[in-house]
Amino acid sequence: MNKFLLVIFLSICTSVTVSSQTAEFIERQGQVTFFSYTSVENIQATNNQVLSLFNPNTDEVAVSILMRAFVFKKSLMHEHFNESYIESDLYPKATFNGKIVGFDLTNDESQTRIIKGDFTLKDSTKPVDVKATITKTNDGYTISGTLDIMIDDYNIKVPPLLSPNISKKIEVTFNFNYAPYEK
Amino acid sequence: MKLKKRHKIIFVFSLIGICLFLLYVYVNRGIADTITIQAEETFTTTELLSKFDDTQEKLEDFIEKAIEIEGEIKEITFQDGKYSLILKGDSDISYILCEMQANQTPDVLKLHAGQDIKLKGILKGFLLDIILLHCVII
Repeated sequence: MNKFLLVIFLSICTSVTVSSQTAEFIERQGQVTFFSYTSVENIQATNNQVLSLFNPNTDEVAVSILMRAFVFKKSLMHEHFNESYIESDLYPKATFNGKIVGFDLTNDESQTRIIKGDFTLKDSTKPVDVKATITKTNDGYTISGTLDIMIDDYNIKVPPLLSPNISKKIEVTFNFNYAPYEK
Repeated sequence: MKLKKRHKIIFVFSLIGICLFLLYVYVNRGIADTITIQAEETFTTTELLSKFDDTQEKLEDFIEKAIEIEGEIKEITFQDGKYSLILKGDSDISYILCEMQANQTPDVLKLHAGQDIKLKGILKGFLLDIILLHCVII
């Protein structure tokens, strides 16, 4: 009888452990900010509604960014960004799909790792290495980091008159707080 | 004769000054207050989410336009100095994410999850959820 109870107890423990390991984590309101620094003008915009999924069991990270949800200080910057540079009507989203290199699921401390993946913007896909810090929280994970994007890689055309105002290299920072994804 | 010429010069410089001022105001204008924008359509959260599930084509027409939305608050979140209300419909797969306009903070602090609310916001598009920015309570 005792053996029978032990088997049931162990099987429950195993199933709980397996389900928690295979769970996906979701962030519906991740933050992505980009900066363009030039001597003429500094431009910054933040998007607080970025979607991301993280599977710690496979180390995979997926991000989807709605380009129109970037908020600028000035209305004209928002118009130029969506209508001229990004053409948000034609290319409403940017995406990233990648895998964390050397992620240790059993490590409860912060891990700084490279996420190797593909970033797609305006139908142009380029491989990128993103330096990120992954931290385990009470009910999920936090992933934050930075990457640099070259505008020439993504078919972003800046009119010659405005080229001194827009940096060729855009600095992007991100912060995602993941919670368990209950589908 | 000299007086006339001087008047002309003053007039031209004044005109240039006014044009530069108007250009400065135009270039540096902020984001419009949603309170002053006329809503194109009113939806309940269930109606909006079911339209989103059926076909996104119908909602594409409302992108960058103000819409009114009525439904239940699932959650209130705070990030980067801004509050967002997450509204729910019948489904637990997709929600409506409404990032509030900064001047709405005192009113948002009085709200709680489970409460019904009517908002006006600018529809920005869709990911897994429907996203509205610059939302105001109406």
